[in-house]
Amino acid sequence: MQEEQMVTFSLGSEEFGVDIMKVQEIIRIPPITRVPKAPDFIEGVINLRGNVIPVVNLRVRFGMLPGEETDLSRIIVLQIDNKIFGVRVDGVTEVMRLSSDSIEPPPPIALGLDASFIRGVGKIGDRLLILLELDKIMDGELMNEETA
Amino acid sequence: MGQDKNLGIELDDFLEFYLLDSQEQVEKLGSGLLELEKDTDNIAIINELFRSAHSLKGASGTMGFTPIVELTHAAEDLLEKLRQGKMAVTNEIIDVLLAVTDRLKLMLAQVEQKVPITEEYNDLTSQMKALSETGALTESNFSPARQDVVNQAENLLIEFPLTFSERQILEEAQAANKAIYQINVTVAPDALMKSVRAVMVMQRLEAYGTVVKMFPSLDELDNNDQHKIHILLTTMELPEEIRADILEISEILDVKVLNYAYAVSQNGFAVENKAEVQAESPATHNEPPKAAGQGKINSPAGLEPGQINKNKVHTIRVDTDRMDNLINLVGEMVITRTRLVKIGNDLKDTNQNVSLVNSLNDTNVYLGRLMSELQESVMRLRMVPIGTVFSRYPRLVRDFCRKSGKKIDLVIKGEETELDKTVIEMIGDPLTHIIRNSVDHGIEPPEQRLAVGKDKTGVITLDAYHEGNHIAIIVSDDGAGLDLEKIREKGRQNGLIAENEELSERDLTNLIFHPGFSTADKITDISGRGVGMDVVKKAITNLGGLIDVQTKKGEGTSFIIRLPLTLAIIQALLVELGEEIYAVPLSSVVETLLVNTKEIKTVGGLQMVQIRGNTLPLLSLRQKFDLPEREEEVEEVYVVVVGLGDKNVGLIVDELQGQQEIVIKSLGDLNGIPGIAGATILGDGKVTLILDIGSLIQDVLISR
Repeated sequence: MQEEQMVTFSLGSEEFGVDIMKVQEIIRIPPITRVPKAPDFIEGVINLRGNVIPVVNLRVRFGMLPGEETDLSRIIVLQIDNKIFGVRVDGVTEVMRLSSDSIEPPPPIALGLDASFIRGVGKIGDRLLILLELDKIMDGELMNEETA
Repeated sequence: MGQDKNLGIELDDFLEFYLLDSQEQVEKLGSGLLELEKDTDNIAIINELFRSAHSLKGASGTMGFTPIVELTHAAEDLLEKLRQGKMAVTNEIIDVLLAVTDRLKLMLAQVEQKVPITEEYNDLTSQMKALSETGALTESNFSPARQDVVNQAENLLIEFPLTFSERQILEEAQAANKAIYQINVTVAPDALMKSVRAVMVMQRLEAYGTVVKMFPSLDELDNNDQHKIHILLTTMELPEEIRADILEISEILDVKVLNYAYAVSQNGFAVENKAEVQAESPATHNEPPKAAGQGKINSPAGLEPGQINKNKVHTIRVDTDRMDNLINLVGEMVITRTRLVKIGNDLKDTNQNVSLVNSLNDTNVYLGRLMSELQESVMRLRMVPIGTVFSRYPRLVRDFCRKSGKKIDLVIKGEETELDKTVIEMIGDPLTHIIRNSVDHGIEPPEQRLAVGKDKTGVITLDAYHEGNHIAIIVSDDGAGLDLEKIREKGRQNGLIAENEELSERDLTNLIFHPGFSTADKITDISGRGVGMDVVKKAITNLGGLIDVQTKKGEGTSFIIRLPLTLAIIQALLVELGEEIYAVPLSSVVETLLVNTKEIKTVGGLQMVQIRGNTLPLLSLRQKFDLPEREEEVEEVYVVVVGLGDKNVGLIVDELQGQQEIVIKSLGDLNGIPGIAGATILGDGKVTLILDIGSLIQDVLISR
């Protein structure tokens, strides 16, 4: 049976998962430098061992209320199409395997967030996991910039 | 394509080197031909061309690219005829050889794309064959310049005291159709053990043929403070190869390979008419280059100094990725060192063991000095002389002149000015465009020039020089100048100028940088497609530069491009805005001022201040970057005056933090945010943004 390995994290009361192959590392929140005039979901840039990488605030990206930074807050560093960027989450919960059978296509009216970021919904017992497709998470930024 | 299947894999490794080298040789051929066109008697240029064609042929043969071999072979034959003086250089010859270089470029492009070479070449080879058969001259048609070279050569030949057995060797060599060369080697006068050098020379020469005689002898060399060695060699090899090989030995200043004509009848010594002199090396070349037409005779081979330098530079090719990696690492080290300094200072404040801390700090200072030297050397690796870009324009201008009947001289200056490789790569196309414009619209046809009392030959000058921390590149022509009336009219049509709006001359000329703005009445092959100057401007702005145009009706137009010297490490002024720190490239900082807030006036929504009688527009960075105004009232504010070219703007900041060297990092996906040029990492590991002065200035000036 086909299985996928996921890194799961929380934003507010929701639980999300991303493909582990796209996760480069998970770090604590370092000092973040604000980038003026950048799209609002770009929280800023950080120093990742000498490289400057942008950080996306997923709460803002998904239209949720901003949350407090806690001890559990993390940045998941993703590598997608040779681009490296971080997404800020409230907490990383676990790494789990998910059989392909238990993944359902995204519901037509997606949980209040942009459907293009959702790959599907995973069910583990009574838990509901929103599987994210983050390939386009940075794309909106260029569009925003041009229409601004 | 005749590439051997079995060798394919192995040769693939060499393909890159082959391409680099061949492209270089083709470039050399192209530029050499243009020089030869102006200076048709210069045997040194012909030799140089022959050498390029020969090595191109050789390398292509090894790689199995038959079409290239055949094409270069025909070119080589033609050049050989010129070299021997059997033909005079004509326009047709230059034309066909230039066509050969074009064809070779196309072929090499196919090689690069790893497709079989399909470019036709028979037309060119048959043209060349026809030329070398019909154009042959008799010996009596030798040009006077060539005769002079011969005379010069005569003086350099010496009479060797030959024994009977040595004569025999020479006669045998002659019978076997071998060449006999007299090789004059100049050893550095201050070299120790000159005899050792002589032995090394002999050893190398043995590989080429038979060394018959050496004068003076080894003993005499060391005893009598001689530093010129004369050697008699019989060989089948080419003189230039021998020369190049010997020049590789250290402390050898100069090598001349002369035809030594040995004749039995004349007491064993005579000079044949075709004695040939090879180029002098720069070490002995102390004559300043003279005006064309006479200078070339005096310095035996008449090579331009620049050309000699090109041959003498010892270089290795390095993958740019590796180089960039090195530069990145050095950048990291610089940052790490600033951290070390900070730790040292912290220790000094808290630690009792003063002497140990002090020696740590001393070491830090020394390390800092080493680091800046290392950094500078590494950065220099990326610097490339702009001549590599300039060299493609003589051809462009020449071709256009032949097509259009205009007469244009292209004067190139400052080609040794060095620029960052990235800038060099990006600047070529914009420059081409500007030059095309000057050629097509700037310079008038000869009749029209004569009618207004100008010389019928127009001049386009291409110049580059350092200007502070910037490089200025100037393209100027002595043509008709921009037609301001036409621009105004066009501007009105396009709605760029309001009906009753009057623009200054300067603003008018700058309209040509607007998208889709072209004053050309008809679209020509060369330029005037309506896409143009706006693309040029965009390309230059992307490089962090500025472009400006100055024009005078009837006298000409100048385009002035200002570019940053390097793109990777810069000096920056750190400024504070509340909690945030920004870096201002020091190259753009004119001065810093403390300005009384009462003196700041708001005119038409723009803040201004009078400084020494001039009005300086101000920009509050807090406002620009969406930060709240400062809570406390201040009497005075810091103003960083930044400028590019002659446009100045004052940036209002909270505090100045001092200057520091920073390594520019890309913002990756976030590049292109207005006002931000990039980012850097400071000593404490925090990311700081670098201001994009060009875009900030443009913002302020536009909002005016």
